[in-house]
Amino acid sequence: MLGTQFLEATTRVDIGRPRRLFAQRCHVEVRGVLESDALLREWGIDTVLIGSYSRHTGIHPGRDVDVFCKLTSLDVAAEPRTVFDQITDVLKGHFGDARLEYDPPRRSIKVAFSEAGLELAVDAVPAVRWDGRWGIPNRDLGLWSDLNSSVRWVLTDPERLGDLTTDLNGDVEIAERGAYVPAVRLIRQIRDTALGDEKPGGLYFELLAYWAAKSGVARTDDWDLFIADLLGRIAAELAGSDTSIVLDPASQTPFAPPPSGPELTRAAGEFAQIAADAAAANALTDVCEAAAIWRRILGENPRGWCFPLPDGCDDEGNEVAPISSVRSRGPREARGYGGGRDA
Amino acid sequence: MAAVETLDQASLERFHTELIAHGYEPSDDDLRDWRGPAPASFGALTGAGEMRLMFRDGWPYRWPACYVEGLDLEHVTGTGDVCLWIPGDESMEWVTFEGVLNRIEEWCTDAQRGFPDQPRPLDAHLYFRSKKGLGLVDLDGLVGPAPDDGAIFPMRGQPRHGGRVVRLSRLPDHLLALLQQSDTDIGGRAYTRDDILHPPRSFDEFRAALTAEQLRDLDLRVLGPIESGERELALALLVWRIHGARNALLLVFRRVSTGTDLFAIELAESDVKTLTLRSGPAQAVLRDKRVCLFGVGAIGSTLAVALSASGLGSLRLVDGDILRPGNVVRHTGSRSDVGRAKVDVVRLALSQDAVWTGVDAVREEANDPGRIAELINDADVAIDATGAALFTDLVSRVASLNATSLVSAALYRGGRISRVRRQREGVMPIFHRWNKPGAFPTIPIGDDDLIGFELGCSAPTANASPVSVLSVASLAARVVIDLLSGALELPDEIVDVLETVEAPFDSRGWVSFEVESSDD
Repeated sequence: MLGTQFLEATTRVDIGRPRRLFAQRCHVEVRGVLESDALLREWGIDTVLIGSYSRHTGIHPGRDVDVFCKLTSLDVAAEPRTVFDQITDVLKGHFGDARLEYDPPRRSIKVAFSEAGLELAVDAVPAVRWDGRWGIPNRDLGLWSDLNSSVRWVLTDPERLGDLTTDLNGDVEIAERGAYVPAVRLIRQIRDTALGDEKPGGLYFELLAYWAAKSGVARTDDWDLFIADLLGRIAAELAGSDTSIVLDPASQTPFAPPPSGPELTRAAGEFAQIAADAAAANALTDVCEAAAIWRRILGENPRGWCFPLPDGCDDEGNEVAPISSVRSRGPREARGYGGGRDA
Repeated sequence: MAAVETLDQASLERFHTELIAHGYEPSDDDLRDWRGPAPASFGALTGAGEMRLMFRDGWPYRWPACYVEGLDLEHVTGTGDVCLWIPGDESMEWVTFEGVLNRIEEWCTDAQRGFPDQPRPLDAHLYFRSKKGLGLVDLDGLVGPAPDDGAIFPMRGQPRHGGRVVRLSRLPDHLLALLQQSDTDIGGRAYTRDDILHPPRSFDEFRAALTAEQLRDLDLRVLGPIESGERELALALLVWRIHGARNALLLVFRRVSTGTDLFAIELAESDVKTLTLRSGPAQAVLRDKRVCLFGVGAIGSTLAVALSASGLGSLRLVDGDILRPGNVVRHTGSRSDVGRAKVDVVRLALSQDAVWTGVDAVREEANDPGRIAELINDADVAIDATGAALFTDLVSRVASLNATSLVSAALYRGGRISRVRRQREGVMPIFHRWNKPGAFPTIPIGDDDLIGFELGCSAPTANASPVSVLSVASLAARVVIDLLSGALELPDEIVDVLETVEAPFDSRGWVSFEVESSDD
């Protein structure tokens, strides 16, 4: 019923071309800096954009970009401190201390970028080889000197997660277009509206959406039904007993650090209500009323309301006469006099 | 600022979505100012990479303003506003970003090939800091219809209405001394150039547009007296040709404590051609016609203004009455005219507003057939707007004898009924129609005239409304123009039922009657 509005909403919550291009420029600059260092070159430095930016699941304004700093010649035998400090020093040498954040408990180095009103923070994440996948420093700095390499490092495979995301997007289609990735953007936006800066964060919900989509979300050509079903499954998952264990499908490791009990309780409550509202919207025959509910569910971002109004509706859910259709009048009718044309 | 006021939020949001998809983002919290990559069409015209779209209250009735830097072209204001649509455009093609992009592509093509003659940007003042006001100028009178390239003309500006209007005129050299003595008039120079491709958009460009001699003149005669403290104000008018049309820019220089201030004033031409631009298609016919109008009251004065404004060449006004305070609500005269002869009131108004109409004001009640014949003798048509049946009969007979066409207009029954009758060669005269009640039903007598009296005036006053007056005057003007143009598409006897009365005038609208050929 509101397919056009859902499609437009996926555009309205998307990070957008200016930031995406800016992120690419930031990445290129960071990569250039890192590759200019002899020791990092010796360690086989190779960087790649990861995270929601690369998976196209990020939402506007998307101020954080993850750059995976693969040290292809090192493995988990290396010390996290050694690689972390080297990358930090190289970045500090180029960007200066003021633009960097690297103090504990960080396991990545954040570099601030600013350009023509855009602001971005690039998170450079050191990574070493680990049995065909990658290890990144443990969040607990106290474990960085642990003798056990699987304690010093945490297994991850962000590129694989990107591939799985792409695959799933191809599997879940609406009107012959991949629907999973844009749907994740909507889910992340709904989370942002409901929980704001509270945890669980966007990636946690992306993983919930992944498993929900994987486990047989409604196959439909109707965006309303698809998103409502996805929300229902996520709400059910949050209400379940194993919520604290959500697996990363790429590394098959639990999402870490897991959200706390109170955080999960709050999220479960919010999403139970959202899922109920979504179901109620879908039960309505009045397009305007349904749109008003979805508009509340998706909320706002710096571009305004994320769920745009259908023609002929106001934001209270009432029907109004659309004006833009007047544009067809011009060629059919002689122009009147007056206004700026004559007086 | 606040969010854009609109009655169609859906179309605004749809447009925003299109913008986002094209890489645009809002630069303010109110979502008015959106910035993104300039369309490729602009690439040949400017190196600017960014375009701004500013949404204004009233979307979608008002298009978003479009700004791109570095466009040194016509149809771009001094603030960088690209004029994509002319004021009053009703296409609404701006309702979608795709529509805006299509228009931009057309605009850019025109910009490279030369903009079409219509619309023509004749608002060069917009490139400068402008002050509210108008500079009135008759360019033909000031610099002539075909001035030499590089010519210089002394001129003066006469401020009117507290400085809101400055009337520009040529000042012969031998009268320059007068200007020196004037406390109010502003001295200045007019410069003419051929083939300036776009209006100057800065004072540097203004100077660059002048010849070396004009530039020396500007420095010596315009800026010199300001800088020396001799004068407070000075004017410089640049007149040039573009695409075969004439354009002009008026700059005002003002002495201030820090030096010389500069601003532009919007220009308005005051020549007859400009003044009659809105006179309508009949002006070509009316220009050589003569009309004699009896009765310059409510209907007559309105009719006189309508015909003159439409381009009438000559008008004789005949009325012996003076304007009374009670006349003003239906008359074209105003309260300040009270006490003056009605013919003089209208003549004065026309001498200012319809300078092309020669007006002969005859302040008399013409009841003598010989005098009436004399007055209508040279007229193409006589008009009876006296509202007096006996005079209508009299003038009808005289006009018939004189072979002069006549149009008679009057209101009846408190303005509920209006009637316009026309007599012309080959058509039954009006005075004959009284005797044909079957063919021309008489307007029944009613008690709705609400006739009143006022002190000092023994004639009764009918309570026809000003709206009825406008209606019958408009109809009569149409009938006159229909006659003078030779179209003869309107009936020769029309009763317009503005409000219903008894049968046969019991439904609104026109009742028209076939007028037989004259049996005289």
